[in-house]
Amino acid sequence: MTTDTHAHDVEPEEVDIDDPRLSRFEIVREGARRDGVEIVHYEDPFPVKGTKAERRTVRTVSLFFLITGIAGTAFMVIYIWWPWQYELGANNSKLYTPLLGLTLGVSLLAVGFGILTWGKKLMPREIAIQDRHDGPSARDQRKLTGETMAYIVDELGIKRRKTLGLAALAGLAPIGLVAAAPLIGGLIKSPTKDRIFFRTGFDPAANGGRLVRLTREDGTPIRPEDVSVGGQMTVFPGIPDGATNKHADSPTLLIHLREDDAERTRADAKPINQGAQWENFVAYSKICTHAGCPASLYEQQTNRLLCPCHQSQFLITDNARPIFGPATRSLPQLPITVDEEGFFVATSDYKVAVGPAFWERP
Amino acid sequence: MKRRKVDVSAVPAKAAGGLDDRFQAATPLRNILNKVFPDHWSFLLGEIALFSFIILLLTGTFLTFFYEPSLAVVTYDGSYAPLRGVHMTSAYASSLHLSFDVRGGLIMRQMHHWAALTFMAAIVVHMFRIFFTGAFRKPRETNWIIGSLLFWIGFLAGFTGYSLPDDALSGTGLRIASAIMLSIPVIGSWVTTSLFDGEFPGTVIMGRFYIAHVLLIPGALLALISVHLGLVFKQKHTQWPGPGRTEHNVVGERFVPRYTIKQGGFFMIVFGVIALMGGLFQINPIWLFGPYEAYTVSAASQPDWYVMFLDGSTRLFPAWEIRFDLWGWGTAIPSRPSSGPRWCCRAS
Repeated sequence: MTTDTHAHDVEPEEVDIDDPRLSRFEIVREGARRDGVEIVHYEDPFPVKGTKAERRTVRTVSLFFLITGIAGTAFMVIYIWWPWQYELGANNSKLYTPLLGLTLGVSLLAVGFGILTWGKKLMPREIAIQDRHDGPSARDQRKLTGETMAYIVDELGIKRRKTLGLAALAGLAPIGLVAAAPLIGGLIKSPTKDRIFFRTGFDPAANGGRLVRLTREDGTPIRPEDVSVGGQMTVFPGIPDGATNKHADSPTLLIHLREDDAERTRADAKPINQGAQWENFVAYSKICTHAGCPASLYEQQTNRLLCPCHQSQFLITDNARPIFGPATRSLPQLPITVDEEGFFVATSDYKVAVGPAFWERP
Repeated sequence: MKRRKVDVSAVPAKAAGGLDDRFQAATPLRNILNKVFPDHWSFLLGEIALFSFIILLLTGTFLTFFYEPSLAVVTYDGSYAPLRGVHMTSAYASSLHLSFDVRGGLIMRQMHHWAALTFMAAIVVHMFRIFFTGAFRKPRETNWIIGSLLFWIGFLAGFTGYSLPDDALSGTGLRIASAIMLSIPVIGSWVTTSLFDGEFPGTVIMGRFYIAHVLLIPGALLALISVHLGLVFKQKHTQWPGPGRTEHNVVGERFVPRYTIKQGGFFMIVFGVIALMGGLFQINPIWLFGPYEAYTVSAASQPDWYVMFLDGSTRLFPAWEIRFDLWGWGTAIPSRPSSGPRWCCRAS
C-alpha cells in the first residue's frame, strides 16, 4: 500500500529502474510518470490481509460468478430439452422464449455485477492525473509541417504550369462521373413511363378494352344485393392479381348509401364526379390522398371515412371531401355501373390520380 | 537427444519479448495501459449505445441466416396455425419461420428489436448529456457532428429493419415513406420510382432494403463509431470541476485495468438487460399483424418511438398542398392553364 497525495507538487528525479530495492509498484509508477501520468493516490481497500470485510467481498464476487454458472447451465438445459416447437394454445412451448431470456439475462447480469464488484471493491483505489495536451501543436512544429506541405505544391509546380492543373481538372472530373454513373444510372426509373401514377387496375386499356369488374378479394364479382343498405365492401379490379399488392393503388371502397344520403350525394356531385354514382352505390378510392394508407374506418351513421394512420376524415356524401386532419384532397371517385349480367363494373378508370400528391400531379 | 525443458512461467515474458523485438510495442502499449480516464456515471450513456450496437451486430448476423429478402408470394405452412394457407411474401413467411420454427429464433429477433430501441434511446440521452454540459464545443465539434450523423444513420437502420419482415405494419410504414418521398419537390416521383423500381411496392424493395440494412448502413455506423471513439480517445473526456481538476489535466483512473473492468462489467449488464427484455417482453408480434396488403391497416399503426416525432408532425401538419406549374414540365401532365403559385386547401 502506498499513499501519496503530494507527488504532483515535487518534480521527482529520474528513477533508476534497475535498482533492486524498488518494488514493482514503484517501477509501475515510474513508467506512468514517464507517460506523463502522475499516480497521486493509491490505496488498497484491505491493507490487512484476510479481514472479515475482505472475505465477505470475495464471497459476494464468487457468489455472482456461481449464479452466472447456474443460470448459464439452466439456459443450456432449457435450450436443448424444453419443448420449443410452437403449438397453439396454452402449453409449455410458450415459456421457451421467456425462460431463455430469464436465464441468459440473469447469467449475464451476474457476471456483470461480479466483475464490477471485483473492480470497485477489491482492487486498490487510485487517482491518477494526466496532462490533456489540448490546444495547438508547438509553434515550430506547425511551421515545419506547414512549410513541408507548401513545398509539396511547389514541387508539383502547379502554380508555374497553370495549363497542367486545368488539364488535370478537366480530365479528372469526367472520370469521377464515370465512377458514379453506373452506380446511380442503373437505379433510375422514370415515373412517367406508362403513366403509372395516373392509372389503376380499373383501366379498361389493360383489360383488352373491356370494362373492369369490381370483385372481392377472391376475385368473385359483386351484385348490388351483396352490399346491404348502409354497408360497405372493399373491392378490387377483376383482373389477374387485381387484389394483390401488384395493384396497390387499386383498392376501392364500395358503399351502399341510404336513400336520402344517396340523393344528397348525387345532388352535390362535383362536375368530375357526375354520373359516377350508380343508384345508391358509390365507389371511392381507399388510398388516402395524404400518405397512402387505406382509409378504412367507415362510420355508417355520419357517412365519414377515417384514415387510421394520421386521422384524416372524409365526408362520403360530399364527394369524399376531407373535413378533418392533414389530407387536402378528396378521395377520387370511381365511376361505376352494372353490366348486362348484373355485376358491378367500372365505366372507366379513376379520372384523377389516386393516392398521395406528387410533383407532376395536375 | 535430450528434450528441452519448458519453463512455463517464463512463456509470457518470452512471448512479449519476441513481439517487442519485431514491433517495438513497449512504449506505445504502456502509454495506452496508463492513459487516464475521468469517470462519471453519465459517460455510461454513450457506452449503452456502443454495447447495444455490438448486440445488434451479434443478433442481426444470426437473423440473416434465416431471413429471405424476397417479395415472391408463397403459401404459409409453418407452425403458426392461424396463418396456415395464407398467401404472403417470402420475407414475411421467413420472418414467421424465424419466430416459430427456428430454435431460439424468437428471442434473437426480440433481442435485436429491443437492442435497436435501446441503441436509439441511448444516443438521444447521450446527446442531451453532451448538449447540456457543453461538451460539443471546441475542440469537439467534429465529434458532435459525427454523433448527430450516427443518430440519423441509426434512424435509417431502424426504419429499414422495421420494413424487412413485411408484416402489415412494415408495409404501412413503407407506404407512408413512399408518400413522403413523393412529396419532394421536382424529383419526388423520380426518387420514389427509382427506389421501388417502379410503382409502390414493386418487387425489389426488400432486396434493396436488406443489403442497406445488413451491409451499407452497419458499415457506415461501424466506420463512424470507430472515428467517434478514436476522437474521444485522442481528445479525452470532458470532466466536471473537482479537487485537483483543471482545464488542462485529466483526473481519474488508468485505462487498464480499472477502466476496462468497469467497461466489461457494464457491457455484460447491458447485454443481460437486453436478454431479459428480449425474453420476457414481447415486441413486434408480426404474426398478429398479418401480411401486408395495400387495403388493410390496423387502428393502432404506430412506428417505433424514434420515428414518432415524424409521425406526429405528419398528423399535425396543416392541410396544405402548394402547387404550381413549371412550364408545363413533365410528359404525364394533362394540360392545365398555368396559374402561377397556387395555395390549395381542400380543393378537388
